[in-house]
Amino acid sequence: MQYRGIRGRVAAVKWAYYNAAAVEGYAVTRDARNVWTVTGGLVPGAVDAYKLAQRPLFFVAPFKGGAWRWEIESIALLDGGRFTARLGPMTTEGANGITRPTTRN
Amino acid sequence: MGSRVRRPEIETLPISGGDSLTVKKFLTAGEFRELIRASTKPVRLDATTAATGKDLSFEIDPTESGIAMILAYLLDWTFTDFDGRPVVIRDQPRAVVRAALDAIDADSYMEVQRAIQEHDKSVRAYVAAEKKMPSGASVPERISQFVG
Repeated sequence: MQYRGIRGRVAAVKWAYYNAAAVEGYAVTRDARNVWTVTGGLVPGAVDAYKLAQRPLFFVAPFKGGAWRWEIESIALLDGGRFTARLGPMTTEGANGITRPTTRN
Repeated sequence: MGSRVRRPEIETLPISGGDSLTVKKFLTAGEFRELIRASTKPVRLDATTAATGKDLSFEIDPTESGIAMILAYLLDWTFTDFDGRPVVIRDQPRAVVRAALDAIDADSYMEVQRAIQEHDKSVRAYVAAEKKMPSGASVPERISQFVG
């Protein structure tokens, strides 16, 4: 069983303050074992192979006034410019940059 | 020989009024090239200039070089608008950060520019000192001490 997920258009895979890859269209899901997974499309020309090879990477999905952020535990590039990644726990950033654990289900 | 690649690190520069700027500690080669590109006017080379060596100088645009350096280093700040809401620049496109810089008052802009120029000077001095140190020796963690 999968819990309610998050879908969005714009996100990024980040290494520190850099965008390792821009993401266009993504879906985040959380399964019954509390494991978060994201699949999405990478924006051609906005993927930095060097930064994408660094660790730790984060998947960051902005919303109005903040962003959801997960540490990427493993990432796989798929055919057709898509990727999938297993994520750690979600945190939520406000506009002031404070990051806190989320209670979103 | 140590690593030629630096881990991305940030530094906080305190300025007046209790505000602060969050900046990159170092620029990468790509960021440095972008800083140079954004600071200078294009140079036209043709067969004559190449053959004679004349007119190979390039012009630095003083106003653009200031904002180019800010854009190269600046990641975030604590600035708020007249209603106390954060002026968000973190993770924003370059055009958004530039627009925010254009919107602050001139004195604040000059303070931001001075703080980042001082940080850049500190970084250069740090890198120069680092090159003189024997491999493996520790160097201070904090490199900027600017207070506007």
